[in-house]
Amino acid sequence: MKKIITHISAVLLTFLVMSCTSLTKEVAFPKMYEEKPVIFLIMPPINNSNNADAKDYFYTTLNVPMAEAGYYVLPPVMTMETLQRESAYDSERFINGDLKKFRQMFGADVAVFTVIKDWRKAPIGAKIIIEIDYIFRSTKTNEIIYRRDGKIVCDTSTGFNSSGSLLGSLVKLTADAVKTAVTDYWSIAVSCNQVALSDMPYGKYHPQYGADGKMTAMPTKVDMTSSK
Amino acid sequence: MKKSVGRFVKIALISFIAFFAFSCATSKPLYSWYDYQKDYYNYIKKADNKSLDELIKTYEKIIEKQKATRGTVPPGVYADYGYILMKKGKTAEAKAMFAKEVELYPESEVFVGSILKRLAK
Repeated sequence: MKKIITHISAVLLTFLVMSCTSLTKEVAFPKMYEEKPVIFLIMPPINNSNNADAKDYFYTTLNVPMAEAGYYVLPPVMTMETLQRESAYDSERFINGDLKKFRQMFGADVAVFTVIKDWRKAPIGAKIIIEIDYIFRSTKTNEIIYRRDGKIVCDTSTGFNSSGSLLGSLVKLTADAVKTAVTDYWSIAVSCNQVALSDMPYGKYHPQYGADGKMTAMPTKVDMTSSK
Repeated sequence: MKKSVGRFVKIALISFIAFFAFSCATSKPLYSWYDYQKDYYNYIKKADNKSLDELIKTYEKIIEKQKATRGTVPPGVYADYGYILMKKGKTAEAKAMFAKEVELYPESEVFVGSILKRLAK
């Protein structure tokens, strides 16, 4: 009994020490807490990967996680067509530029830029490797208020139990290959956003708005794994 | 001594359980989205009548049935649905949807309100 108690205490202590030394959201993203943005504008992603569709995978899946974090996200269908009409569809032109225009046109507090650096299949297994930089810039100050530069390995495997036999392994390998081929790739973007943006400070529509400053944040640059 | 250690473990365990229960509670979604992400992607990709009809059905479902934490329609849904109705020539219904977006989310006034004003002219 005593031994168990010692073990539990050791685990708890380690946990507490780790919690104390870990990065918190208010330390990692102070400008999010100072500016308290409400309105998010999702800019068309900048796609530097070899997958031409990656831009659509991300544009169509970004508004949900931002709304779920408690923000007002401008209607994506309407804003996309307006940006096209106003010749502001080219995010490369604005990623380092002045964002005042978006504040006037849309009332946006934050412009969300994404740079898709890579989207490729891993040579073995049912994995997709995505490298993406999420950059949130304030339209008031033009400063970056949140950033996540992530390499995310998304496991799309079937979870088929190979039971260790060679035949089993082959079956799994084939099943995984087929699954990767027919996977709805937009859903990989969904899980990628989910893990990469999981430490976003909460916005005004979230029940924990203003009370999440002490929660753990990740460093800007991360290597992560996600599964569908 | 033994008693105090036991008490410590008890308190620690309760805090742990509370922490996990709390974590679980906060991960509940704010809104019910149904197949929104799939249907929206398909609409952008295919841009045909079938994908548009599916997206419209999903918008209607999102507007009618909200079972998540906030119990209200998520940001942008009334507006995007209205925009699609507007493009289909259903101006009166579109206006009603834009008005609902601004009513529910007053911060959308700058953008959605400006379109509403343009339609009223």
